[in-house]
Amino acid sequence: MNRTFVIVGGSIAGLTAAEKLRELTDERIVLVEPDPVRAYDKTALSKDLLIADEMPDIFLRSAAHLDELRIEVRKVSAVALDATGRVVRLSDGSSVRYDRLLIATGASPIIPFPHEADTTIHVVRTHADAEGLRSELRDARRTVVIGGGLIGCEVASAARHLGVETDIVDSLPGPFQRMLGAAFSQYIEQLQIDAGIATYYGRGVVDVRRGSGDHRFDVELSTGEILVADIIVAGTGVRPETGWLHGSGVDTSLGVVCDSRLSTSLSDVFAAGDVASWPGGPGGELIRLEHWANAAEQGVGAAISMASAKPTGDDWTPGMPHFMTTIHSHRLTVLGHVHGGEIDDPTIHVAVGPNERGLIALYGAADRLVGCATVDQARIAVRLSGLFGRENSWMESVSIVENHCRIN
Amino acid sequence: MEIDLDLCKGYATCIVVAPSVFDLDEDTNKVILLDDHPSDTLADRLDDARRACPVSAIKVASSPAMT
Repeated sequence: MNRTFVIVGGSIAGLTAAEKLRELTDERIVLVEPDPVRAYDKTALSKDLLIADEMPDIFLRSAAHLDELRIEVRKVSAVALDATGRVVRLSDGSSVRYDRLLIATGASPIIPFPHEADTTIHVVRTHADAEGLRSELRDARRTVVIGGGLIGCEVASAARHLGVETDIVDSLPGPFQRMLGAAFSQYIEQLQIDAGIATYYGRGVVDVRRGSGDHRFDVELSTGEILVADIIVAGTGVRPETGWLHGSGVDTSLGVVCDSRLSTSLSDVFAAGDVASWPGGPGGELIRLEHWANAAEQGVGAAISMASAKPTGDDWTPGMPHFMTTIHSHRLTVLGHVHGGEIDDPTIHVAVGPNERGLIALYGAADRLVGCATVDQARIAVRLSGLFGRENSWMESVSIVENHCRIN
Repeated sequence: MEIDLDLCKGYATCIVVAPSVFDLDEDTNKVILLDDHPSDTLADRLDDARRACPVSAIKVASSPAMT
């Protein structure tokens, strides 16, 4: 066969897909990627890249590496998909024809709160975003971080590390509330308070405007409180980059909707990474993840599906969702399917680690353990992940954790 | 197979992908290699671990992508 594989998006999902495809076939591979900086470790943008004394090198592959693999790189963006003609239209007016297409366009930050046009709101998504924030943080006295999710908590941690006075704001009652539940959230908020962060949870942002005092900006909260800042950073979520697929026939109702082999509603079009949803939930429901490792694994999975002449049904199994991060020198490990919930939620079991060190949270569905999240207890998290989805694993995991916390 | 411990940041992705080969030293927050010469049956898992490492700290000698 002499097919053309076109990959739109050159971050980790697109990159791993290109590499895997080259392992599997000698056919033509075209990578469409406008970001002139080659693929980099995005997990470092809101952490090491902000705090390291010298700008770290977070690039993953050299241009020479792509040349060696005979991957044609087009440094433009895709603007439209003509699925009938099997053509991707590009921003320079040219187009590229495909036999198999991979959508790996990721997601872009959204800023859902009101702010005046002449205010600068930093987001952290690209290398350039992080470089800009990195240099401004070094001259700043005060920052307000809006958003108590992963990016917001990481940026707040980095800002404190640099000695910047830091406030964090979220309309939810605490950090990671929706993802990990109330008990875990309270633990993380305490870490933030201990690190000297002023927390403003349960409050919305109603306006961001130029400062009336000697700071650049005023942030007005739903309670009427006014926070002042030299830098505003938003970690308020992302939207899958599907605009270019409008009218193409690809189902974009939850990112790009895929089946278990990452094929979209069009059989010769596939998707991977932050842009894609697939039936990967604990009960087979559609989920869309924004985790690095998920994107890397899906790039491989999509490549396997794309290279095969016809669906084989069992050629690739997605791994379990997982991510790790460090906040205020404490290590967070989140494995499997976790969920929010109040303090007394019976499907969440939380225990303080042995010798009062760290925290272990278990997440259940019926009689099964489906996920766990830990602070400074990564090893038991990995051990528990072996039980995910097994019959009666919920009670078993609760007793493992209780024993672990008592004996060690 | 080798791990570049200067690059390793303890993301532990490899441990999740191949727990029989990798472990985490919770004091140094670096990965420990449990098995220097893992069996060929683990080749696919090791390759997944190599690809998924956010800092590319895992070098698998026979990686086909590098040929």
